[in-house]
Amino acid sequence: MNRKTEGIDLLRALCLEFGPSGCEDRVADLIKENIEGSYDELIEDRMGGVVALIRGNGKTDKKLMLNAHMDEVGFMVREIRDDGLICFSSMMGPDTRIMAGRKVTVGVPERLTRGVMAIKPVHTVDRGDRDKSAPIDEIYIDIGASSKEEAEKYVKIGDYGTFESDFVQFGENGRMLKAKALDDRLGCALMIETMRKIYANKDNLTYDVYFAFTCREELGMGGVKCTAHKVRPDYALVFEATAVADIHGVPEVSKVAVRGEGGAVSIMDRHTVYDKELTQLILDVSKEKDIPCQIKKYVSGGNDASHIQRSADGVKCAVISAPCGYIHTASDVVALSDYESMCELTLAVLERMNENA
Amino acid sequence: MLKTKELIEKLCDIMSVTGYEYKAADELSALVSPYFDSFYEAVGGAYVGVKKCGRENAPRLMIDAHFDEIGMIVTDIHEGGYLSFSHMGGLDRRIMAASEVYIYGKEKIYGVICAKPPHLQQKGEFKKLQKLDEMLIDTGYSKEELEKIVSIGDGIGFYEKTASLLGNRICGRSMDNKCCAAAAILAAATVEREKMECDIYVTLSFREEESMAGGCVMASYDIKPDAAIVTDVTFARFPGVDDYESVKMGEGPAVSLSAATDRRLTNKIISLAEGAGIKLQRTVDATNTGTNASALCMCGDGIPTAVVSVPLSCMHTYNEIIDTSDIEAAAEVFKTVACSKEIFA
Repeated sequence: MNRKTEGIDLLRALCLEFGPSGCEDRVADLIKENIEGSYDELIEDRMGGVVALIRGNGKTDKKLMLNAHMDEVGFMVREIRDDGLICFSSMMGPDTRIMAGRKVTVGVPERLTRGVMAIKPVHTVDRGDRDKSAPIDEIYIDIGASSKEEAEKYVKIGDYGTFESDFVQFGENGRMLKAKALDDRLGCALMIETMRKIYANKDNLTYDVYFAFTCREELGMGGVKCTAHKVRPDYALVFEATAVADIHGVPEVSKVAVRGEGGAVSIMDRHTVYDKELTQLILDVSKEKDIPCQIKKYVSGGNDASHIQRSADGVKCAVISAPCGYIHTASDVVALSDYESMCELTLAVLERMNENA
Repeated sequence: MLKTKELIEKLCDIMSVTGYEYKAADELSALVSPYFDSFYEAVGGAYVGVKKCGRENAPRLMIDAHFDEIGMIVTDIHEGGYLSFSHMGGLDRRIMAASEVYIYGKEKIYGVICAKPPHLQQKGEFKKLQKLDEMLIDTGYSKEELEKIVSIGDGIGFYEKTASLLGNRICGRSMDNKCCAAAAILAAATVEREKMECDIYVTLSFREEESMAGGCVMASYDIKPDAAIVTDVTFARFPGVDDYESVKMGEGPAVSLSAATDRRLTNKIISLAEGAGIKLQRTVDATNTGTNASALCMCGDGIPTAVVSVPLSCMHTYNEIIDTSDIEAAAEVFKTVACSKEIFA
């Protein structure tokens, strides 16, 4: 089956694929199929990432790395009970309000099963506890098995899991996208589209450009650290999704970024102070080419740039993030226009870097 | 042949949030009227499907399955296309954040219930649930455009679709009580008319989730049944739920032993079903069955009423889980009752 797609179809296919942190193989395969014919060389990545090189014309010996992470938030199977229910450890923080009731996919790349994050009926919760979220050890994954023996045919201890969630285009003129894992399959889709365009036109490329689709970002483990150590880039552009707080009732000062106003460029977050020159170049190009982008207004969060920046002798990093509502839930929500303008901005930035080289 | 899973799925696809059951009329009628002699809406109370045995003055058996589902109602429209809402039926606030909904305005539009990003939360805030009036739905519209489609008072239902789990288990929204509606419809559709000893009135009634008296009461005055079976869901066994108030999924429907139901009718159902080889579990609901039965049994001159329930997990979430074998067994119970002479003796 040809799984090569583009545009929204590519984004959809990437988001629907199963790839919790540490178990990104299915996403890696899908990406490999989609970048086929758009690179000069695949670089071995011991951390499980997909790293593709498009060679420059030799005008400069500087190397540029583009990065997005393939993994998504998830969980891991801890125990299978006698009644067939499954206990799990969260790999997405402690907030069960976004877990309870959701459909999930459990397993390993070659064996996946549907389940539900089941909770006891609200009718049986003590009146005094009705304002409390479900404790994580009282949520069980129900795959429909009625015994441990039956469940063990489909799920094993140590298996991975993620949300199962439809890809939905909604809102006025379909301007919003909702899916699981838009953080950071959106970045992966952007890099794939960028590769296709650059490779078709690669005679103009001055830099060697490495496209690194990496693992284990969501746990802060940064599989990209080893990738960067191997590639030794001089510059890195990280494509991410960032939390926003642009909903009704939030004061302007607390709105991290606003969906629909372009990719968010960070000056600084909790783990990285970004390279001033590279960041300014992005902002300048955005202004000159009239491609929307915004500055992330809050020093919060962090991403793989922190690992890239501090790899080897140090790397000059900048980040462009898609403003993403309800991030790290089954319902990441981004504006389609932000994705499109980020793709456009990326090409314009690469073009400017070529000229400057 | 009518497939159980397919029927449940189609019934679940029909939006019937408490108070908005009227919107289901056309879709429901198109789906199920072929299985009945007549299918009509009893004003304000229920959709009624009738299958007659063909004999004059035959006794009337009412099988009531409430057709409404939990949902929400639009209470305000804000700048940026955000909606405030209140509940229709008992909502479980543990599952609301980042859940997906349809808003039933002039057209059906999709929305996501906003979840607060961690950096705006106080330490430990994740342990606490937001009040409903603090929650918002993100529609992706501007206020101006949204107001052309959605008005205050419009209904909201969950988005989730029906999906298969292992074996006969399925999950999705509004299994409570579409799965029991399916059992009643299945019974009427497949019972052989020549064997029927009564006329069957299947009431798919309104507003159980809000008043628990619902439309079945109103419908019963019109139908004047000689006996009634209320069919609804009950708790499946689950950690934290006491064994005495739950039954095992996949091991058949349960009858309710309760002061609120008619014990003679209940005993007859048990002996008929078990005589026909259908396993029945028991729930003890001493003073209240938590179903339409409590109201229905007191209607008119009084209606002998029993409860046949089906085990369901994750009640009042958008992924309620059931076992279709329990639905098929419940349908068999209804057929056995409808074909017996003893039940009205």
